[in-house]
Amino acid sequence: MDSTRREFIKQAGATALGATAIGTAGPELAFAAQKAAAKPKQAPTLIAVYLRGGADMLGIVVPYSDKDYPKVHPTLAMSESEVLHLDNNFGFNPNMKELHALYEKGMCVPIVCTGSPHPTRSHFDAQDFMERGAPGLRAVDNGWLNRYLYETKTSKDANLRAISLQSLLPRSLRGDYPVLAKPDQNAEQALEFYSQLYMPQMGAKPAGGSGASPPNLRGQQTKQAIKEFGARTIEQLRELDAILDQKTGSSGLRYPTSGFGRQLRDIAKVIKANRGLEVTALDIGGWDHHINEGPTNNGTLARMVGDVSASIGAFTDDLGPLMSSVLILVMTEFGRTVRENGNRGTDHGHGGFMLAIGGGLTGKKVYGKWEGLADDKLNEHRDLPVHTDFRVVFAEGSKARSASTASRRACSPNTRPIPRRWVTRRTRDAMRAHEALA
Amino acid sequence: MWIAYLLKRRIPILAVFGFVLGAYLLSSAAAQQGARKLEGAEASRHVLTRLAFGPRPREVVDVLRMGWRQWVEQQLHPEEIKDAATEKLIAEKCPTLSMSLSELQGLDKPGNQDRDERTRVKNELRDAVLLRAVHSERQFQEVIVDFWRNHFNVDVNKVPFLATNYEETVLRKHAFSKFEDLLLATAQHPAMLVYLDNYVSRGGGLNENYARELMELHTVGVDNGYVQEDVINLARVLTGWTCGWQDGRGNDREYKFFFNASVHDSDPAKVIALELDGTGSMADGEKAVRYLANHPNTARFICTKLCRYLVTDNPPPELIDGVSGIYEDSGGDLREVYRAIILSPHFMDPKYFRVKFRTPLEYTVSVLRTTAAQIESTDSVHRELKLMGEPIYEHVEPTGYSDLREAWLDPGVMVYRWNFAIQLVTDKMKGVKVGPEFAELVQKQKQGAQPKKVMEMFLPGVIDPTTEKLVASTTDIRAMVALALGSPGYQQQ
Repeated sequence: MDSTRREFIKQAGATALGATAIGTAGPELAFAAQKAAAKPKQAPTLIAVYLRGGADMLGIVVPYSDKDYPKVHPTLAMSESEVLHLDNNFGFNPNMKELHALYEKGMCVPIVCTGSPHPTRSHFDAQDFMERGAPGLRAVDNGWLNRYLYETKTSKDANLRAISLQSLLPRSLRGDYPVLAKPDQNAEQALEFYSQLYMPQMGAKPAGGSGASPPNLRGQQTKQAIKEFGARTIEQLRELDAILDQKTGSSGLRYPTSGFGRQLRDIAKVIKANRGLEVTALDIGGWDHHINEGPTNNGTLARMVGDVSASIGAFTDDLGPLMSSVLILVMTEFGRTVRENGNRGTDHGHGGFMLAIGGGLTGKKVYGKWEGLADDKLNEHRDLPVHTDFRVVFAEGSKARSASTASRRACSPNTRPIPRRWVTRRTRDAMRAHEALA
Repeated sequence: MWIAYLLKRRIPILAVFGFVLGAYLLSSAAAQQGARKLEGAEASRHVLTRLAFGPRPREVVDVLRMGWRQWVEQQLHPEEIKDAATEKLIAEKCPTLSMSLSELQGLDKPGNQDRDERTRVKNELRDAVLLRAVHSERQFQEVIVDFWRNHFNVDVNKVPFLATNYEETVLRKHAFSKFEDLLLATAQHPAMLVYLDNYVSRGGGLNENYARELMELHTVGVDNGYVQEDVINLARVLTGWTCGWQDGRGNDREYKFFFNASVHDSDPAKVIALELDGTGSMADGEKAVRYLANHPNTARFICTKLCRYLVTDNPPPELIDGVSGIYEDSGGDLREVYRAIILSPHFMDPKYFRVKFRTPLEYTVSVLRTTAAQIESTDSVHRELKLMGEPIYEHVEPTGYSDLREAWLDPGVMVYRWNFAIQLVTDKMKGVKVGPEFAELVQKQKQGAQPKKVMEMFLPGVIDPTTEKLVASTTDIRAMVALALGSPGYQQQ
């Protein structure tokens, strides 16, 4: 461990996580075991799952024993006998059986009261800030996962190093590193037809490469970029489709038929094919429960969280020992108001939660500082506070992937001044323009 | 010469002759420097891909005959261009477009009763945008209104009945006005007031959403000369700017923008350098909006965005300087700003020829125009636009759709364009067919001349031996066209 890394962890991690009131984790949080474990043959895979809309921690990681809990949730509260016991403070929502079983095995840890230091309650800002790993910094316009990929790229990167199985790339994967968004359309005919046009030129890079750029006469450089992206589309999709079309032995597995279940089933296929999948991200929408939140009795939240749990359960069964090199990070943009509103729902709040699921965790613990639901412990007397900056979890998560300091910093640019290479040319221009005016 | 002009521009007496002199010097600067510029057919193609949604068959020749400068001058005055066919089409297909705000809002029924009406109004709005982009003779107007549609983005799903009137009475009406008039029109339109929540902002219960975006996205640019306190103060100044049903003429109720003095915060406020003593009530807000519109940072921000849109994703600083100067001297006269950009030596610099990447809308509309497509039903086109990530009027966030290459060029996106091209030429796109004049034009050619004609029509001036060879290797005209439409060159703008 070099000194820069120690310093980084100390700076970002120690205050936020070191002195937790319960489940003291130490700055290394949950992913330290990865180092000690034997080097896995499989490339490590990070799966970022985004619950869009602001998922309610109190309905998912339930503080059943808190004395204020039934008061603030007169209709939504769950009793100790209902929840799936985690520790003396918390239990999982009763529909999270699979995740509870993983918790018991030390393969699923919740991190409570985590979120953004930025106070915004706007979905748009909060999601943006989080996916760019840059709360309050609008000048950063690339995603944290893309920065990671870009910083650690090599000439030998696998075609499927980073993919998204939804048709529009989540913002966390947008940026200078080309990540495939799998089109929501049959592509076979198009790939066949256009490969003659896009593929023969592969390898014939323009003279000069990224160094001295040739004169951009008649948009040659734009054309070349389009050509390269087109060729990459064909290569990546062909490889991906070949894997997904295979009938693998996962027929006995019970993946839910939901979009999330299907996406995880496909990701498992790619991981099992061992094609160097390192990063993927996927979205689950619809967590903005202002009305009839329904955490129990098969209500809305109960059903949604049940689907997440069952899908991840099937996924871990499917992968078996390969889970040791997989990390799933489940996140949401913010938590919700501690008091339920007049419509049996909750409104936009502040502190939320994350789940880390995988084989390399130092687990069976609820992580994060917890001070209870008493009014004076709340953010602005209404929301859960943020005790753990989400960027600390991101950095810990990517630590499991790479020992490179640069890559970890890329995840959270504004824990320090932003080094210029983490921002795109456009951002740099904008920043320069602003500096010139100031 | 260009720089020298800019320096001189600061002298007041020259400023009087600003536009005339500016236009003259801008157009002559390159010649004096001896730099090569696009000419002839290349220049015609360039204006038709940048200032229009791509050329229709034969249009390049038309512009060449007329001279591109004269074509530009015509396009800068859309009100003088006859476009009866498009107007008739819109009147027939999109009758809700001409409805008043009150008529539109009157369709909004409680509960779910308005579902069908809501869908009808939304569909007619997106059809109007698409059909005008494809058919209108006033192509530059359509191109530039699309710029403002994204700059002053509203999401039709949040303001389903209001967006239609916003398109007609704000964006289309003011796209060639002064920027401050356009800005004020957006600020006072119910669509914007509701979309960015200003209509519920009140003294003591401030909603900063609109005030923040007004500075960040609409005027000076993000964190460009203002701080959080300015956001709060601007939000306070704009409290009471709201909308709803009010007494109109006679006994009629009217849905409109109005100032609600009872929720207005009338304490003194300072917005950047503008001091307001709070006695002006609604006029204070107008002052603040006009102040922001004429702020030098706004001039630069707007001009930078326009240069990106019309010239290149990374416009050179001297172009931005020059155009911002015209903005300031003309009091933000948008027509003059557009003219300054188009007549600048940079616009016709071969360096910027085909450097931009067509957005999904630009690609789709351009294909429909080049193939002279007949559109019976637009649903399949809208579906494709949604898949490609650019459904009309449905950008949720106030940033609008980006026009930059990096926002659109990802692995994966090409598949949609390829499928679109294949579907269209193989007649599998429901309600859309390539036009007869297009087919005739190609079929009239002798067998061996067809590939050349296809290249000429779809990829004029593009040097792309791979595509050329492949197009020449087939006798199937549909395959030729599909190859051309899916080729790298066709994605370039």
